[in-house]
Amino acid sequence: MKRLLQIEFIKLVTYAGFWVPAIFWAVLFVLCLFLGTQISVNIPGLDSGAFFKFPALWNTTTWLASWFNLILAIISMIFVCNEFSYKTFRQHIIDGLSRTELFLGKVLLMFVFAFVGFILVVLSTVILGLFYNNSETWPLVFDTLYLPFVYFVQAFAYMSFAMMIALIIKNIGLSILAFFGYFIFLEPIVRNFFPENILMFFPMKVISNLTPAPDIFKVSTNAQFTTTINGQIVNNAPAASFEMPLWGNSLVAVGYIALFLTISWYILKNKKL
Amino acid sequence: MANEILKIENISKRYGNIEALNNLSISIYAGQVFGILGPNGSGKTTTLSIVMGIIHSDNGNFSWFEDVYGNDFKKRIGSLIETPNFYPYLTAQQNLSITAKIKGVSETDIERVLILTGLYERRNYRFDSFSLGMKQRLALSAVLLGDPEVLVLDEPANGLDPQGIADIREIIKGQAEMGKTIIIASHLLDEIEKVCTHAAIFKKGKLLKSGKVHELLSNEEQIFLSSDRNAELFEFLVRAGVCKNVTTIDKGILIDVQQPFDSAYINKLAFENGFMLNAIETRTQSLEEQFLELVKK
Repeated sequence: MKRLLQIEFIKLVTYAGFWVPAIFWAVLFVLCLFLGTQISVNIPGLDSGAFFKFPALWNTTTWLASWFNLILAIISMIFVCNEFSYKTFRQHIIDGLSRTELFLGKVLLMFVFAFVGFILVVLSTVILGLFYNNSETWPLVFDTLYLPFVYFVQAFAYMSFAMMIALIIKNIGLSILAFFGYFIFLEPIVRNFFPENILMFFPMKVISNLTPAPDIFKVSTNAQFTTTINGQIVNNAPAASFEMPLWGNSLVAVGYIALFLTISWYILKNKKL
Repeated sequence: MANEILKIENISKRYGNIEALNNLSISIYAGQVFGILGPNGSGKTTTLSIVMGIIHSDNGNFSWFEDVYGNDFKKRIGSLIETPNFYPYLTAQQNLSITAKIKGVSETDIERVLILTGLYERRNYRFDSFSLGMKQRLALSAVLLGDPEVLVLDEPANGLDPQGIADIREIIKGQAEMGKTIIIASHLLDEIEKVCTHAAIFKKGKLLKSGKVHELLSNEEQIFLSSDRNAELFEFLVRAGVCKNVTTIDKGILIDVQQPFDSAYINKLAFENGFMLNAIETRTQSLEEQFLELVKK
């Protein structure tokens, strides 16, 4: 495992195709969070600072970070397709790696990417928490502590799907087109033909539902209400509509990860390199 | 008998309607420098790709080192199949670091192989800044990492200038002198003849001939003749029935002499029949000529 990771790290350490999107991902995420703290929504009864108070803060950071998971998916596709265009998968087999090791190397790399995303979310949440919380809201930090872990599952799920697409198509541009074509057009269109109790099991639906928008955000867009008493939020909005309980959604997402990885392994095992 | 390094038994491979390999069987033994010859599409690269695990055969099987090392056999083999495949954005040193990690070889060996292939000064240059010849040298560096017992080389002189070809030949000869087993596929028959102890000739996925190189080379003499009336001389020699084979080549005629006739007899015969010869010389067929003759059939 260590050897496979070392090999993957040598590949990315001087690769601009990795660092440019990775830095873009991190900077944009932090910038969006920072800008979010500066926005003051002028809706009576809504304290926009509540987005950055526990327990809603975990929801805010993971939801925002989830949008940037698509960049992680693109990076994963670049890394897999590069191996085909440089014929280095083939060379690694010649030099002594097994096809299973090729597969494991990429899975480990995706695991590391998801873990770095997880750390970034946790760090930014803790730092924002220090600025926007007080002795009353800090104790709520553990209420939704599961959310960064769910974010990790989501990041890994997007990358697993991306890897499967890349292994099938082998070309970076076409893989990215296929990924977004499925994510933005194909699945949403197909979902329209299915009833609610079935469409919620579609892969992109399941994965994107892992990090729902913050409750307060939903409240404000639904023009429903939160009242304030002496400046404190009393959230009488309905609970987040997860469509499926989050634990159930997470389990199905893990199932999809297993499916994507199994298909990827099967393709790599049998494909002419 | 020496240890059997590679045993290929009845391997076949099809790509759609094309039969790339047909029931191929070869054995290669320790210390041999084994050349694989054949025109494009004869199955050389397919054979090497199968034995290196890049593609699967449809039928048959192969074993390395008499299967003693199971799946670890690749650690004992250095292999270059077709083109050098490296990361273009990494330096020579970084690319070899990846190969060293895969082979489980110490990174200190990188310096040795870079010196051996003359790339040490360029170790910190990116692969995509290399000329074709330097890329080939880097590929050879990767092959030599860890000092493997067996080298598998597919067109190692590909894209090299004459000096580069000579350098590669010297490296291969040096490795052969160290007792290593070398399997080398090439179009450059002259190179095979200079380097190899054994050879196999492929055509359309079939093995035409194999054995020691000096045994493959026919010992029968050929005579090259030239006169002012080559066409008439050709017809006369065919009618005279003193030769096994008569062919016209550039500016002359090439004949396979039928024993007991020799060049002196042919000269006398031609003279007595009114042919003044401008040139007459005896030669043995090169591997290239025999190869061309075989694959034409």
